[in-house]
Amino acid sequence: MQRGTWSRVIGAIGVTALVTLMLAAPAWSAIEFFGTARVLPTYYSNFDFNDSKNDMFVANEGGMAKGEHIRAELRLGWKAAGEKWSVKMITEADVIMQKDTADRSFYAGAEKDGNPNSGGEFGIERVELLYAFNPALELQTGWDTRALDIRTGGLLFGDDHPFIGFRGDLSKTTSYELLYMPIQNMSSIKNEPFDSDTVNDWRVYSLKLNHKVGSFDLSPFYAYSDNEDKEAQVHYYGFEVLGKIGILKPSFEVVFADGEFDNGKDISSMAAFAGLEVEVSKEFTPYVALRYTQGDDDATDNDVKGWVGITDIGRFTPLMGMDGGILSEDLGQSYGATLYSYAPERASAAGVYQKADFVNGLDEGTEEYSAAEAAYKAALTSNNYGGISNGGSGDNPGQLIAAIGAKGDLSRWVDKLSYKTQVFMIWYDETNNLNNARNPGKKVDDYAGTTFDLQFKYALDENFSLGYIFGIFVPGAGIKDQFGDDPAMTNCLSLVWSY
Amino acid sequence: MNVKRWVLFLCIALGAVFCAPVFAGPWPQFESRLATWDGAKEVQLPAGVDPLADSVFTPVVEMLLNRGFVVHTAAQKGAADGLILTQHQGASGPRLVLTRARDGALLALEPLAIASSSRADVRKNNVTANVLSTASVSPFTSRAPATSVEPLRLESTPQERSMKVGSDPTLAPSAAVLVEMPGTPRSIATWVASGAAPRDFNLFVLYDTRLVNFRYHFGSLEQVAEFIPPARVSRALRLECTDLDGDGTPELAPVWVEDIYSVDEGTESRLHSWVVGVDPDGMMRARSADLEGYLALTGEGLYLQERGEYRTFAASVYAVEFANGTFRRSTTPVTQTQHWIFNHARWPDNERVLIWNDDQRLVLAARAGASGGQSAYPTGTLLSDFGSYVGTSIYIPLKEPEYRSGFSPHDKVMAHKVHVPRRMLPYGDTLFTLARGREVGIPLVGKPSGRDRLVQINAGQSGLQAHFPFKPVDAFILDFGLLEQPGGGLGAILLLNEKQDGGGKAYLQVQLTD
Repeated sequence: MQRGTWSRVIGAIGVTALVTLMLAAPAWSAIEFFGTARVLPTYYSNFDFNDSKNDMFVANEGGMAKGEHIRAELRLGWKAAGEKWSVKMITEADVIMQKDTADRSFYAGAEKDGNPNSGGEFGIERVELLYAFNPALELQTGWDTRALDIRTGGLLFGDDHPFIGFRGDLSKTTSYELLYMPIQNMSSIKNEPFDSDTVNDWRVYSLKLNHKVGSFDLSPFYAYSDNEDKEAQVHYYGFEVLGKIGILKPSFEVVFADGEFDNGKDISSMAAFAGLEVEVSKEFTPYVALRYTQGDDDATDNDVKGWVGITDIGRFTPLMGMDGGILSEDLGQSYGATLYSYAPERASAAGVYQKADFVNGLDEGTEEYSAAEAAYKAALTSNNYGGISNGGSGDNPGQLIAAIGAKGDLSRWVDKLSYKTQVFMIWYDETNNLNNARNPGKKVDDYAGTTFDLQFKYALDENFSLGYIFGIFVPGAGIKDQFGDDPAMTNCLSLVWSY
Repeated sequence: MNVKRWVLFLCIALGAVFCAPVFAGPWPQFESRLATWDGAKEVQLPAGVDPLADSVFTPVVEMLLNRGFVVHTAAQKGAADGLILTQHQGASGPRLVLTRARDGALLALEPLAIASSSRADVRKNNVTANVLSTASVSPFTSRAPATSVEPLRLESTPQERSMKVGSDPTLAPSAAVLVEMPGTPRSIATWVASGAAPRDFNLFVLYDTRLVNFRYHFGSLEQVAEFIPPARVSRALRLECTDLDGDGTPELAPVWVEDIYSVDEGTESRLHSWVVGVDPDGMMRARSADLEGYLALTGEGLYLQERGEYRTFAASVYAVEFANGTFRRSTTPVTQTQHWIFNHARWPDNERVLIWNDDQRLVLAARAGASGGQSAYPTGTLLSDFGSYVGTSIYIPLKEPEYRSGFSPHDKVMAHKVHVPRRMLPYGDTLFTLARGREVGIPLVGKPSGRDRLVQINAGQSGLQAHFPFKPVDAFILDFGLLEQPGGGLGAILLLNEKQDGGGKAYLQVQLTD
């Protein structure tokens, strides 16, 4: 046979084999595709509350940004499902739009054979794999959004950490969810190949029950945080309740933390949330809420009392949350609340540990000076554990937020236009660990400041909406004592396609 | 030769060629002549034409005004060196004619049907009726005698707001008449007044934000009155019509939804409905407060079912009662049900209901006790494929949002979308509904194909049976009504649309059987 004939024969055999395999394969499943594309032209200003200094970068989901920037969150998801099973995956590119991220996704230091990394990055942002053995036992794994208290205050946990676990309905009114989450599970293979296999680990075990009583949900929850990376083990016990009575929608949550560091320091803290929404009319649905996280009053004692959850998810809670509100952005450099969180879990203990106390009398550049400086830095971070990216501090000052807000539909005036607005008055719970830069030696004032957010959404189409958020954090005496007098602001326009 | 210039010129030329059709208006001859007209920019209209409310001339007047022309009615005197606009009925159809006033020279001719059909927007009160012809005729079912189709003629006269379409009084009993409908009608209901002439009835048309009373008379539609709901509404769901108070005039039961938007919650559809009375002169007025529920007719009267907070419907069904000149909801429920009143009909007797189940099959079930489409009757399921009907949507909030792709409001599914089922209309011992044979085609590249038609259901000893007494149509049937003809024949009034969601060009077709 000639060469072309052989090619045709081989091709025919290949096609036949492929068809045979396809016919013999298990039953296929319809796949549903979906996704969102959000483009967010944004301007951050003065997150350090100081106009006279250049702003430091701010972390958001697209990366590091400062000032004017455009974030693009582009998602394509698909879900295949049968009667008892489902597989859902969502790919995402979340970038600050610029040449290097837009069409070549260049990451600093990423290279192969001496050439810089180029080409699109479209990683799997979320995965959810389910199989229901029966209504009471559904296997679940992947890395998808899971939460313990996101329907109320979001004080303890809501995130897309990896998990494996079970959930199901124990009765018509009672359900449960059991999770094991390996949030961190990687020792340094390159630098410390013989380290303990748990040296950097952070594992969380959680159980949440939900029981319906009339129009109310009563939900106790428990989580055990085994944080080898920070050498801290913490038990969290919480309870949330929410429901509706006529036009009233009350919600409440309380969580207690009890644990210890390997060095013997005791962890004991609590947090609480209470809110009430009133459905006055479609144009005006006001709410009031209180959100409290305990602060630490003495960073040098053995009691670590500053509230640190697993992931404070205040940004996405139904009452006080606003995706893009000023307090939900990364204010870790000043107020101490990072992206998503409302609690100032990263506010440092710089007010307690003065560098001079460690390095006084030592010559700079000497080994003694370096050792003392390292000891100072270690002291600053000695009570760190948990929180977003495991960066929380048990010495944080805590907070009390008194919130008032309203939302509604403005279609009476402009069709398909809706709004939400809110004012937070924020007090520190404890300020002994904070550093008063304005009046050294004096205690920082309790009043941290006032935030105001105004959000509009114009739903032009079922699949496209325009949105805008203006947020401002006007510093109170507490922020002014530490950082500066200038307000922090965010302006964010959102162009959202969902399909 | 300067190559760059040639390339630039070529690009511009190609751009002009491709853009020309885009900018070409519906009256290309008119626009061309008017653009080069250097006489007085004044146009004279024929006698009797209202420039603001004439379905033929008003769009042209708007175009003239946009181009800076002054328009004169017959009572006013136009410039001697201006233009004259008239309508001419010729052998090739009606046309608009533009002539020069000073010498009568013919400047432009525009076929009226083409011009009308190419207008993108149909104005609110403009009852457009173009020259349209139905498809060819062929015998269809044993129950359905052959229908003849008659080409329709436009007989517009400038003195009338409405235009006659097609047919004359000698129209054969089994003819089909097609009328182009203004706007995007969603639901219809018909009413034949006592003593009305054959093929003379009131057509009530439910739009997303209004209800219109048309008079259908021998192929022509004339708008009689309009009802604007006294609350903000977003979309129309369903219209019912009957004489509830026995005074010989109809009462209408329109149901709309109002979509409530939120920055961080799902869209929620709230119901608005009224009993609307029709006065002898055709005017419509609310004869109830906002009933805020679904309204549906049974043989015994009008019933109301409310929406559940997180469910499409609540279990309680109320009667709509008449007392002291107004209609109101009964204080207590008259029954509890597990069925949506839009999704079933009490038929063939008072103890049974016919339901669309989840697979869009018709199932006969006990009126009380059956749920989820489970039939209590061994022969209760009709294994006929009537296609998937997608009616107007309602958004029902979810109590627990589905975190589809994240915590952000955009990533959550916070409401589910429910579609209003197709109408089920009992008639004598039988029941009519519609069979969806038309499909939208492959997304992006496909075209709609297939035919919708009405189906007549009988409940016999051997179970449910389907018949097709009316002719299928090459369009989506959105809604329908039935019309008894003098002498015993039955007519079908079909609300048609080019698009499945009702967003395309709409037509009314009147099909008659012998």
